[in-house]
Amino acid sequence: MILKTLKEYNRILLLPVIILCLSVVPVFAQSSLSIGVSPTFKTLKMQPGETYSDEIVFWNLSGESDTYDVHIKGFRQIENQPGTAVILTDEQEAEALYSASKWITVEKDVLTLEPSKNTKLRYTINVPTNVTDGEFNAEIFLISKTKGELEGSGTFANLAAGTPFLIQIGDEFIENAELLRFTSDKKTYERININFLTQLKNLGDTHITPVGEIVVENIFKQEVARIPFNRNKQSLLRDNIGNYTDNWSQSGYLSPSKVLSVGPMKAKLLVTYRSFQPGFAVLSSEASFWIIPWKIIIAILVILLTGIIVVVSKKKLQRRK
Amino acid sequence: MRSIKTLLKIGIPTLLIVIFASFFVHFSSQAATIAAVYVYMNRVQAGLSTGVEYTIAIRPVTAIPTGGSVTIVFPDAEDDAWCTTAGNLTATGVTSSTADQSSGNFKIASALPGTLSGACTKGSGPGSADTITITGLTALTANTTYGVNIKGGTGVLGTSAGAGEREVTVSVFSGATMDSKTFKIYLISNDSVVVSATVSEAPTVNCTISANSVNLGTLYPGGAFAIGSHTISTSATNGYYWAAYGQGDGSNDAGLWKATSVTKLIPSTGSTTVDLNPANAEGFGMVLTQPAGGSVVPANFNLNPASGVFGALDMKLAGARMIIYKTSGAGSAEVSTVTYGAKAGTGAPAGAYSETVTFVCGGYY
Repeated sequence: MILKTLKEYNRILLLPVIILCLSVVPVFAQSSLSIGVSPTFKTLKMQPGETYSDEIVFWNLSGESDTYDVHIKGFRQIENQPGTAVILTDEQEAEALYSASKWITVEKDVLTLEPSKNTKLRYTINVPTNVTDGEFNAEIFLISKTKGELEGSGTFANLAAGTPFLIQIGDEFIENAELLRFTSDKKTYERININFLTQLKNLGDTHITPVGEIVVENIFKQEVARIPFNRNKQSLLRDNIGNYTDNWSQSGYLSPSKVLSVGPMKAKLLVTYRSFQPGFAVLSSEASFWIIPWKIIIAILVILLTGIIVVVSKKKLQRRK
Repeated sequence: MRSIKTLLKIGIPTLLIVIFASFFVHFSSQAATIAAVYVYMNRVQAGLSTGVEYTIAIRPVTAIPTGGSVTIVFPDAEDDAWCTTAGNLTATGVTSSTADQSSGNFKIASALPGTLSGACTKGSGPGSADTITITGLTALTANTTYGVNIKGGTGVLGTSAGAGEREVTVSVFSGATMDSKTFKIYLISNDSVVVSATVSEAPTVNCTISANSVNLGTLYPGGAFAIGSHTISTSATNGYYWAAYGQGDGSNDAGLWKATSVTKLIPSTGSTTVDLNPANAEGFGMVLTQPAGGSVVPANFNLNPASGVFGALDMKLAGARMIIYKTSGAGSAEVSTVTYGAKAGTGAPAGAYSETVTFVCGGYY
């Protein structure tokens, strides 16, 4: 009797269990990736045969551990963006004359970053004794290992970050640069939110970190603004072109020193880039643009026009009377 | 012999009288042990000359009539150490303290009642110890835990030198009714921990991708484009940048790649953008939102995904393209949404396609 009852229950329960099992589709659990790094760059001055050792600290602010492959390669700048670094491909690395990747060794090839924990990666730079003077570069670069599978079509995301090294060997370098372009992003503005676009080319044999000022004057040659150029001190690698954007924004049309910032304006760029006696190599250029608060102008015109119409109409009425 | 007789004559009656009389003598003192008491000190470091503060919880077993006092008597051999300067103290009834247990006898139930006043008196040699006295109590109920906080001015309350145990006696009494308890407190040589840290001067950057995979769902050959998204967030001391590159088929272009037979690449063609709107279009790309605060997304990636036009990706490290940057520090995380768009052409074979996009994040040098 009991067995019979159990068999009946089996029939009732078995079908839903089978249906549930068949309906299970393996779903790939997404996970986040997080990496922090310090320092974000390192500039060193070394001599042939010298050894330098230090550490880079990486951390992971996500809730789960991630594994990264450690790469050491020469690097290049991204798309005329000064201060950026992406490691070279194997082919590029083979042809790179100033890659210092072979000088650097690290204690681990694979790094696991545990959640909310600093992980130190110790590195050693051994400068060969027979190296020629010049500026060399390399980056210790971490790329996350792709993990998981995807149902259907989609994308995987990998995360990469590292520390670029600029290593100067020797003492004498040629610092030379050319100003290719200095302009505002538009010719006319209604409000004061102006981007100044500057393009520099590094013609020397070492990186440069250009600094300077953009001085803006109104039609009466009164200074209305003085903006630092390359406020973030982005460096430009040799044989590279760098685009710099500097913003000038102001809420009203009067400068802090109460000078009118309307009408034709002139911006003068002054850039220095040499580490020694920078004043002897100044790059300069001028750009002009207009600030036309046309909404305010139209409003004033409308008020004036309305006033004139009212006055004229009143006079006409008085004449009729 | 005579003297012995005299002694017995006087001694025995005297003894009998004393024994007899003792039945009639009534001691009026009612001394009992306090049911529960603790002394919570704000500092437990030995050798302090000022700044000690006490919170006392006291639970008498007998009712104490109005006009009572509480005393804390410190070790007799440590005169002047606990009462650095004799004088008045501030005594305030408290209804709770840090040392309270969650329930039971060691949890203050009521503030010590009355118009309280405190005083610290110094001991003077053997038989006289430093004592804290609180007076002005109104009636205390038996088996109720009362709390009182005692503070002194600068240089009034201290602790004796040398780490180790000290015996103190806490009493509560009124007239002949008295409850008291003697127990030990422990002084340590240093009760403070100095936590120090140095904030690194080295610039830092924090980069996070919210999801390491995005499912674009099912692409129908010749059908509408599909989208999927995740976010990237960044904080940095000196500005930041993100670049991205795909893998594609590993030789021709980035894009969604079907690695199984029949292989097929839905490419991320074009140097700037991929338009997925035309009927016969096929492609893959991505766009980003530009967070407020000065970040810049290049024009070819700064597009509305609903427009059907997406920024084109390139392949491998050599094809890394800048997708967002900021040339000033980002103190808090700045979040940008990355949306992928893909469309399969009419000739695309059925199967699973995928692309691995590597996001390169860094701070400026």
